[in-house]
Amino acid sequence: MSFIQLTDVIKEYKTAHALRGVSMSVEKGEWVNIMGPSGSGKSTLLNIIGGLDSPNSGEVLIDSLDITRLGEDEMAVFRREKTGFIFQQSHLVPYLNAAENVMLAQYFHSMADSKEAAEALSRVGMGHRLTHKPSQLSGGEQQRVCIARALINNPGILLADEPTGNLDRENTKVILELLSKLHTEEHFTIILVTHDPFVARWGQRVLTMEDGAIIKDESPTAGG
Amino acid sequence: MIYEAFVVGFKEGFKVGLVWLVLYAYLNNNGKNHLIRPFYLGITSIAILSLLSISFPSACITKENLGNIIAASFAVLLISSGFALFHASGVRLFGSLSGIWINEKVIQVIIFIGTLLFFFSDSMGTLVFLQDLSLMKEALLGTFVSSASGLIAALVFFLVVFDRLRPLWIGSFFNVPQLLLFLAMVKLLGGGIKGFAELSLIPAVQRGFMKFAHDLIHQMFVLLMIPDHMLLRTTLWNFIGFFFGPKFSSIVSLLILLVLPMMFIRHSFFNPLPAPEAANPAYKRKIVALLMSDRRKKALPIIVFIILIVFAWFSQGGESVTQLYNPKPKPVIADKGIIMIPVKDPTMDLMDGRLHKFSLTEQGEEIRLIIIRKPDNTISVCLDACEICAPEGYGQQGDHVICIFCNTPIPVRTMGEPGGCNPIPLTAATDEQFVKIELDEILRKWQFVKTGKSKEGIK
Amino acid sequence: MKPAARIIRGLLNTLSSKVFLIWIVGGWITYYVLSAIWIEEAFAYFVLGIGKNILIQFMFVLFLLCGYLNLIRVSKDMLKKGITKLISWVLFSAGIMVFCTGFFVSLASRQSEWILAGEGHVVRPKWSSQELIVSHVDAGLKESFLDSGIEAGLGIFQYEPILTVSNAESGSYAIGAFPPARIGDTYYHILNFGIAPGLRFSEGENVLDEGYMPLRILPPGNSDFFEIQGYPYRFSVSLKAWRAFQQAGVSVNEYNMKNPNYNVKVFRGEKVLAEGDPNDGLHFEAYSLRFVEPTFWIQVEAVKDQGVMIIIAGVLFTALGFLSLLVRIAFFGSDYRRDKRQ
Repeated sequence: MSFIQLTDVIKEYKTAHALRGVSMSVEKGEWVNIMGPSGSGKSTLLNIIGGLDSPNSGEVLIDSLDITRLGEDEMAVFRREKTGFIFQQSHLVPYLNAAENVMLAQYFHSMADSKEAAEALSRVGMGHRLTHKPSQLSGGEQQRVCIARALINNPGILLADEPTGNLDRENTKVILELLSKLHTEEHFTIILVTHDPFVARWGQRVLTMEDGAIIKDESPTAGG
Repeated sequence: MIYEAFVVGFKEGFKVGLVWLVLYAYLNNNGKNHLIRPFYLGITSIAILSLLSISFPSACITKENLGNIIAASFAVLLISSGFALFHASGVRLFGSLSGIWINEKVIQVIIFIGTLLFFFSDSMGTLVFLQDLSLMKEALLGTFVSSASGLIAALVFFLVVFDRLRPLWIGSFFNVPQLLLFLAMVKLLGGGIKGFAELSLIPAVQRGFMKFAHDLIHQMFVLLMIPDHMLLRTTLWNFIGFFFGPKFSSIVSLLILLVLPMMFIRHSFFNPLPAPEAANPAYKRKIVALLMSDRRKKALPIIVFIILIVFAWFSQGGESVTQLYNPKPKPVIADKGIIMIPVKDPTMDLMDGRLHKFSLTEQGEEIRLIIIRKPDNTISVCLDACEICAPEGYGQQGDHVICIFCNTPIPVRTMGEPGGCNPIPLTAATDEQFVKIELDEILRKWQFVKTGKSKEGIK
Repeated sequence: MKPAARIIRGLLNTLSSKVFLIWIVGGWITYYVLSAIWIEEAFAYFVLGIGKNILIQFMFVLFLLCGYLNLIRVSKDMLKKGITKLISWVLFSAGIMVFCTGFFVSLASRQSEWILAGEGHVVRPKWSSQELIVSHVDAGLKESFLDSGIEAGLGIFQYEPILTVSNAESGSYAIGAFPPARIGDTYYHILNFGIAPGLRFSEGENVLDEGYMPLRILPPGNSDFFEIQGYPYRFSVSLKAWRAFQQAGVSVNEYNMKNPNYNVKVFRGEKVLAEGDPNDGLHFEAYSLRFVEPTFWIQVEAVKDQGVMIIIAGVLFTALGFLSLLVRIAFFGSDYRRDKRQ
């Protein structure tokens, strides 16, 4: 059985169908990119996998656990311990420095540990900017802090929603190289949503969505 | 309905309910629900024994002894919680015998015997108190019915609370050491068997600890040759006199009592945590955080105890320590060398258990006598002075008289025994109407007070 | 290893273990608390027991041994963690152990004696060969004492009484109330103090008895009585104010302390024969009593005790250790925080 297994997932909003019976599976340690135009349902799909949103029907099995059946508290635990999120906007706390932003994630998971936070930031190449506030960091640096924050609790699944959407090509490349390096070294599963074909080339699989359904599932032609 | 009996019954029921609730929640939390059975068995045995003892009103155990047994069980529980704490923090106190606790049969026996010992003295004490009360109120049935309804009301209260709230989560606040400390605190805060007069053990514990603090300080003074004589109350005394004051010994005693709870707090917040072996740091951090939160949870009942003890200490005992009953002496005169004091007249009753003082003016000086009924219903007649201190006399506080000069508490039941700081006993003949004391006896002993043993020095 | 060596090694290991220390201290607390519940004077019994009871002495020595061995063991471990922690910790715990040792030595070996002395008397405790002659008693009393009834007697002294003693070989020494003076191997200090009026008991011109009579009539308000051997009289004595006046609505009695006035009642049986101040002579039946210039008597406690210095050292060590522990925690944080920071 696959690590992530979605079966007939339907999500309807009042006015529109966001997902029309999506089924997909992702293996452990796989890097899957989801592409598609705006409103095709890719972010909704990501949110459902990450437990931020719940489907109207269908099954979402993560590591054999059906998260659609979890209660409020269990869902919070699931999100805290199994998933790490990176968004287009960095969502860093503006008045905390880089290390403290990472420690905040530790705190909500278990307890803060400054040493471990510093190590994690070093791994994303931010070891020299531990005490800088987000406003003192460039967009690319902020996003690296976000990666450190997302990975600090060893989540198993990294969910990225347009992580490079606000970055120039140079910085995008740096971020993707970093993700790639970490993915190779630590073997976590990545699901990344993008509309940028350049970004989409980095994963092992590309799912293309349109109007709430997956229309294409292919391996990218070239990486790097 | 006899209100006092109801309250005493309610108190006992409340104790049973509270202990049951905590024990049940603890066992439930550890998946050992069935171990509550020996507790039920113990409580049932106590109920049967108590009912049996009602049919033998002349209980062979005195109230005094029952009080002592309760105090002793408090002490034993408190000390064993300390031992259990050491055990829990990794000191193998029982060496190769440590494994014995794992045996479930042993635990069942311990719970059963523990329940018996824990509640038996309390229930017997309550019964003795209720018998006294029923004699006083002249209503045997009313007293017992009132107290039984109090007991049942408390138990029903707990059943309702349990049924509605299912507060099984409180089990996570306890481990064996915390459980033992909890039981000790139940004894301390609810172990009094004197009805309204002493609902808790605090006054007795306070006296005991204060006596220890006082004796220790006194011994230090003796060892370091610091004079505590009134005549030398000069600059030095302004400083050391403070150590003899009731406030100082009350605070010291409170601190001694709090040493153990403080050790629990230290264990919960400052002891090094075991370093868990885990593959990744996040998981390790998770385990450490769980351990820490568990410890903090278990510190909560201790913090509650500390607050309760401090509150009870100052609200209940602190005041009475400084308030001594010191009646004005009634003048008496000698007739043909004999002083006769009526046991009962319209203005006083020597048998009322309170301190009575009399003054006698002989050869230009005032001699004071004290008379008090002892717990064994005999009358003790003493001089209002001891061999050691300046003769400032004694005041009464509960079942102790306290030397006003040096603040030493003397139990009323030891009055009449000579020596130390005890009031100097006088030989007296007591019948149903009068206490008769020979003037010569008084003068002889009074001279002893005024001159001391070492007077035959120079001339 | 030889069996004997192995047994000694095992014994030392047991004694130096934390478990044994916990048992012995916990056991003692249990024993003391339980005995204090049933025996009223538990502390006195314990103190007496340390002096006399061989079992209690044995247990106490065992405790001391165990304490010191534990101290050595823990110090060794702690040396690895750094010297500053070791010093403050060892000072504190060693202080407590030294104090307990002193307590034990003092109770087990102390000899003491109370000696009543006036000027010209010899002070010599029974264990000492050294004779000390009281050359001067400085009462330290005020010239006059104003007694307004508040805190009676507390203000009779100008300063604490001092006793001067001298010895032909070693010179003279001053003995006060506290701290005790150490002369040779013995400590001396004043335990009690009083006035001893010079009295002259005579029949007409013929003096029958003469001397100083130590009385406990200080502070003013106290009374004492004495008898003269061979005569059926009893004399009750108290100090008399030489004047009384009103001050701020309070009546104040003024006493002359250097050469006091007395109030003496002469009893024969129940009957008062005379009353007055014998400074002026008091006449009754065929006799007369006159008080002349008083001297002062002092009750001296002589103590021979090897434990006192140990106790003081223990208290000093403990206090220093406690302070340095506080300073350490205040300035460097607790171990817990330090470990966490690493």
